[in-house]
Amino acid sequence: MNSQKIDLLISKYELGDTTLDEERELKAFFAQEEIPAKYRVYREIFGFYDTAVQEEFPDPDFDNRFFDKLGVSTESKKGQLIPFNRRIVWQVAASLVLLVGLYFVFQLQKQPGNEIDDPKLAYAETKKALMMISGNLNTGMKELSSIKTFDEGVNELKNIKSFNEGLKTMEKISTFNRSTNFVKQ
Amino acid sequence: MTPETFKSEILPMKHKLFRFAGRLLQNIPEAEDVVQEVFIRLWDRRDALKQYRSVEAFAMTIAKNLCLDRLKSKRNRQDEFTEKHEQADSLTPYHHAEMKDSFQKVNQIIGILPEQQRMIIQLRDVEGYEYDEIEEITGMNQNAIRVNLSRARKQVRELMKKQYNYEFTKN
Repeated sequence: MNSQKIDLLISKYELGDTTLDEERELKAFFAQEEIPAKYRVYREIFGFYDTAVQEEFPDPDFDNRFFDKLGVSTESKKGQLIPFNRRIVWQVAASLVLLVGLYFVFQLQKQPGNEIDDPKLAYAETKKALMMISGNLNTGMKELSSIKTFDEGVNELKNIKSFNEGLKTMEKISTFNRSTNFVKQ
Repeated sequence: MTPETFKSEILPMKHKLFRFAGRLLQNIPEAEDVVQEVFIRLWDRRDALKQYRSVEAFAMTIAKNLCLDRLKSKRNRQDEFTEKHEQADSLTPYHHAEMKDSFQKVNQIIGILPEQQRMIIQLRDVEGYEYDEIEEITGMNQNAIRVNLSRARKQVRELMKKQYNYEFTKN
């Protein structure tokens, strides 16, 4: 960047007319090692802004102290189970029911001497087969209701967390034991 | 909002809030207090934070209000002697060191600018906010922001030059 352009940018800057990009350009220019002496004052000013933005909050343990003050625990719940994707469970179950149904239809067809000439009888047999599939389907659906129980089970597992907390409390007993031993000595 | 999300999304603003409060109050422990107060208010509203277009602008606005309130009550106390005394005691170690350090020179000069100019210099030249964001945080219109910014920038340059000349003639 030539000094004419810099002078122009500086006057724009001092009028409050530069864009953020132009201000970044100025900062980059004045951050260079070798710049004309007349820009020394700007070098110090822009250098200050570059440094000032890096200043950090003094207390590195602020986050924990903050939550302690609020009385809030931030322990991450690593033991928590990932919620089961119910949609996928349903889709897999439905496919299984369909496959079982199709299997029955094929079995019926394969049996020799099953060919029926009488249309009425054929209709009755087809109906019977379909009823069977639907019956099996319903049984399958009943089985699916246990998925709900399964979900409840998963929810129950959350109690393990409380159990863990209980265990933590129990750790104090070991401290107590140590003190008892100490007293014995 | 869970404490974990609050910790990972909201608390990292502490540095920016601290720099802003520090610039306005010119006092480190007080700036830390303000940052904590901002987070307490955000925590109390943790479930409503989603409604804000920019939580950061909201947080900065709270910080600004808290700082201006503190500055106002200080002025009302009119206890300038103790105030100066407090300030001298609460500066960071390197504030006590050689004031010739160029960082300290600019820091001091910005410190004596009027409140509004300090605030705008901090938001624009240190943090690099766009004008509409500064408008949202300060509640000033863009024209007033530019006027104040222009004055502040010229003033910083002038005071720096004066200091240089002074040092030059002294040697």
